[in-house]
Amino acid sequence: MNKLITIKLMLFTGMDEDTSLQTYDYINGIDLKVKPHTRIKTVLKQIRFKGKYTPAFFCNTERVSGYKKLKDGDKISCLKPAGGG
Amino acid sequence: MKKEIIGTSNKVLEIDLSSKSFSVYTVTSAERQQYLGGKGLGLKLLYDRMEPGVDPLGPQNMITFMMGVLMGTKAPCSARFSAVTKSPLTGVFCHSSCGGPFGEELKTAGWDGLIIKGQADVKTHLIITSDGVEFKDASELWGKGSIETQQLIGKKGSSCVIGPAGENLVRYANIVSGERFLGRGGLGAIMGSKNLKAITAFGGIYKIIPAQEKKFTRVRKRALKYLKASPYIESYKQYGTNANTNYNNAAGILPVRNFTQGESKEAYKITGEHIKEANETKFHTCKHCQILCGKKGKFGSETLPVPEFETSVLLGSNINVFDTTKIAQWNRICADMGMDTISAGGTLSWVMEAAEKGLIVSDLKFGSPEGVSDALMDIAHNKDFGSEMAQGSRALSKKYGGEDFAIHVKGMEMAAYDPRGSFGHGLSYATANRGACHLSTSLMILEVFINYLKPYTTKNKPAMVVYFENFYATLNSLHVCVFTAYAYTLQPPIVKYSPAPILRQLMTFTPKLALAFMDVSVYSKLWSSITGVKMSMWQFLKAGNRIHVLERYMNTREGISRKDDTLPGRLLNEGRECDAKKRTVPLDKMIDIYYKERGFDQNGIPTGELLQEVGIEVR
Repeated sequence: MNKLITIKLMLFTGMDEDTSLQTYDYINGIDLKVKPHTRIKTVLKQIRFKGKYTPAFFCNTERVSGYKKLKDGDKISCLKPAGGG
Repeated sequence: MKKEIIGTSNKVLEIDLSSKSFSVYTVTSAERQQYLGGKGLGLKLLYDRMEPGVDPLGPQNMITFMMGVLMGTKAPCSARFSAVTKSPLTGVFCHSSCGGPFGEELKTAGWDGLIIKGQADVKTHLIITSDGVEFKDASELWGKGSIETQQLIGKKGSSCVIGPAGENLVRYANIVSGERFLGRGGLGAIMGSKNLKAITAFGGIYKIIPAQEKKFTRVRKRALKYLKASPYIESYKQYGTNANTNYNNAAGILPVRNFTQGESKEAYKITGEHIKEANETKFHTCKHCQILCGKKGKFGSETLPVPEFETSVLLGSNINVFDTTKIAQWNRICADMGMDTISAGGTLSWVMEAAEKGLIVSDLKFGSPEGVSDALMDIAHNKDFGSEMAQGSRALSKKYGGEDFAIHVKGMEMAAYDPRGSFGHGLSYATANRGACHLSTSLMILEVFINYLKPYTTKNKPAMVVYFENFYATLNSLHVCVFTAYAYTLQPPIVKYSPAPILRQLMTFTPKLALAFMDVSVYSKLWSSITGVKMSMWQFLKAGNRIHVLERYMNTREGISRKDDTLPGRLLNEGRECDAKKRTVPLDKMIDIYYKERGFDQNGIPTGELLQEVGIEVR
């Protein structure tokens, strides 16, 4: 049986309000235990993400898609669409 | 009843401060079509009037204040104007854009722009009315901050003023209109060198009527619809430009500790969401704005403008300070003294690192707010070491060493996006005409924020930089807020309903095909409906190319070439602390291709063939 891995999930720009999370620490994010190679999209399903936008994802400062498979210690940042400038 | 101007008045006031005289120049229809207005037209007027090699702070230098054709109409986000001059910070041509109230006042006084030359023999305040110019003594205003100066001038009319930094020729002094700024490149020092403290326009005489009203109304409606539907615009409305902080931090492109780290655990303190909650922000925007990114908030006992993202970073994370009240207070000092916060912050971070390395003696330290307020005041008043800091990081590093960590391009301090995590943006910084400018292309939007391009490849980036340089030249000549580009280019159905992975593939592997599908017709249609002159989207982008090439050509006449199209040593040779792969910007892989795409020679000089093709007369 696969051991669970720990990932850190950071939800920005009010994304936590679009999930089932009751409490969310926007400074430290939340640590979640998931199966190895779980995709980011699956993690969002687990926290019942219901936003009507496509979030941007970064894994350890790299821009990735929601299909990225996760490994132990990954830090995932999820953001609502925003422009730069 | 107000008199009417159909489209544009095409009248530009040419003011000679030395002789206290003025004349009216009439913009030709060819100039209007080729250079659009705003920045483009401002550059052309200077090209026709200035010889290369003049001292930026001497009487031969000129400064233009130019309106875009949208100014005074009800086009969304259009109350912006430009100033163009030869910069004392970089020694090359520089434009800056501002959303302050002066522009609309000038345009509704019947003027499409000002050209100011010479040098007044006494401190001067120019009064502009629809009849012309009055030269007023400004002795009583001299020495006052920008806030008090505008209060003393009074509420009638709108002004462009300088603070003590401009008077004392700080190389990054800015020009202030209301609470908005012609921020970059030291334009305030140009006014100071001319003994010009303030320009006040009294408008409201003319009403601006689009030449093709029905077409204008139709396009305006489409523009408003796109703005309303855009999720990018919504984030600016909610959190202001500090909405960018989380993206930059998550992507590792947030300048921290003089561009060494790329991210910080404390960055949340300077995010838009944190500031919104902690500082109870309210809207505080440019005129006729539908985006509403500008904010005011409570900082300690004061209500102050919320620092823009660039300020929060350059006067915040980049000096390792995350106290928003301090940053807001420093932002206010810079506003009142009339100084660019990006260059001021970039210079302070160089001073902190140079002191740490023992190159200079200074009490300023990374992570400590101690002494920063005093340093800013010393810069503005040229006091003690402040007089050296007033020259900017390039001059300091040439004198004391530490050029590798003086984070500037062509003398202009870099904006708040670390290009080691956005290679195309790195090329854009290196080649931008006015220096390390984030508004030459804003390619980091495609590479980091929207993810249509991979940030860590060089593939086809030169083609992208060329396209967006041309496109941004049109935005700054129309005069419209660049943030409208999120709505006007991403909301048209061809982009909105195409799957992102397909767009990404097209942008990466067939950029010219992808860009051919990019619809920027809202802009060209707004321009042509107001002027009544037919112009297709392609002709409009060609005008952008012409404007960019003219600016480059003018700069090459000042000595700019390949050697200047580079990045600071730190960004070419050192990785960021947050990046395990320690990647740097592979500029040498892109620069030759960029020159080829542009039609420049190997030394970065526009060829005679190119100049002829775009209709620029060689001088």
